[in-house]
Amino acid sequence: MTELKLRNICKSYGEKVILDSVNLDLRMGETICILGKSGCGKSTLFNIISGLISPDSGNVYIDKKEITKLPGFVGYMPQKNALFPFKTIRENVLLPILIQNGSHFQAQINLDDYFDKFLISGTENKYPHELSGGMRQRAAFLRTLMFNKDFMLFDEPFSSLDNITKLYMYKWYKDNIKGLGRGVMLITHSIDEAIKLGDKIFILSEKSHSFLEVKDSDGNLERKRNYILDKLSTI
Amino acid sequence: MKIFISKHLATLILPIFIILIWQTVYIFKVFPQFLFPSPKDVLLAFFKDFPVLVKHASYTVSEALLGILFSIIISFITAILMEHSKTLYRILYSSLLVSQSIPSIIIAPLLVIFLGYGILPKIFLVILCCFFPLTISFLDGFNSLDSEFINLLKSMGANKYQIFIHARLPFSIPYFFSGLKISVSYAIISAVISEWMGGNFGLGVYMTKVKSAYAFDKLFAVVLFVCILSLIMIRVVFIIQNKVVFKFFPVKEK
Repeated sequence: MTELKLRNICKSYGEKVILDSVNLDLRMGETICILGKSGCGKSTLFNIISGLISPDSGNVYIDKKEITKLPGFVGYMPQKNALFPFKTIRENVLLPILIQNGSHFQAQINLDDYFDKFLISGTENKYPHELSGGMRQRAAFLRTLMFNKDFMLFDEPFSSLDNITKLYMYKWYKDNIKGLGRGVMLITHSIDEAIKLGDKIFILSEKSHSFLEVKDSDGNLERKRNYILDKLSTI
Repeated sequence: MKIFISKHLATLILPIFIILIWQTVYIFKVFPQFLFPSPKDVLLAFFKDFPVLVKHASYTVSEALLGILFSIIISFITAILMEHSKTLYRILYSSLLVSQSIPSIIIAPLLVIFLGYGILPKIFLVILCCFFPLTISFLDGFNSLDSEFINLLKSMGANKYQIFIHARLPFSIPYFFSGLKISVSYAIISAVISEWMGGNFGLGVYMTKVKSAYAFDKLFAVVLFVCILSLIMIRVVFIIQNKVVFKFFPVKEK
């Protein structure tokens, strides 16, 4: 089975250590949620995996292929949904395909099914500002899917949404994104979100700058709520 | 509607006040009346001279527009080169900023010596005046976008050219229009000033002629005409800006 592997990733900015010997395996079909305080290095880790910045040492692999410092191998959804305000939703969603195929991109991709599934049908020719927060977020999810990669990184995808929309989006996410069979790494600040969406939960420690995996013998992460809270405040 | 009327009336208060003072100064002969025509005299001269003013304005406006067109092309290319090369950026950026504080207009007499009395020195001066604000606005625009957009494009595997086309260029459009609004007013002024130095046609040339003839009502009429012309050009840019920027940025994202 295809796996995304992080091996001994280290990163410092000057004297400040951000990541120290970080190891992680992400399989296809699996969702790993990463919890941690602000500024503990979660986004730096994502930037390393997506090839935007290089680690001081360590490697990123997809199976045996090394992808360290190589962008374009994983789907990436930034913290703010970053939909281009001057492009229609269709143009935004198709952007990864356009970039990857260069200017010769002529393929007429049938997006209707996707737009239906992502509950944004009818918005193809609208601009991002004409959509609600939840719809914009689903459009950004769809765009990440269009990277057409086995692995996807979501950086706090629900943080800008109100609580009711969030609950609705969790259900939609479980019904739709998890069924796609891709490997997902999701950064979040919310324990609730991590428990609801994650198959595994990792806490990025501010002190050791590496991961602590939250494990339960029966795989019931709900029982670990207090443990996570405790760990988040102490490590 | 009430707010609309009161808002527009408010903008008229100061001009009306100035005209009243002007008329008072005229009536009380603060200055000799042949040197200082009344608002009525100026308006009469304006309408009487209107066909002549339009004819001369066609030259001035052509010089200004050609100058702006060339400035846009040159500053766009310069900004792209500076964006592409960090060394070039470091060499030119601070010089560009400093040069903005030097009035390019003082070069006008030199241009006449080297380029003659034709249209060339006029266009050249307009370019000199418009080039800097436009280049700076392009550069600011190219670098205005949130780094998340660049990171996103990079993560898709985009090259420098693709990042430019899909992000830097469109995000620079509002900045370009801010620069263009400044440039347009500079363009008219510098075209008129370069015409003062010599030539056969243009509002600046006409100004020097009526001044030599002591036809001060006509001189004031030219000044009025240049002001109106400048306002119209800024207004035109403003209308285009609203249409284009609105298309690209329907609502400014927070």
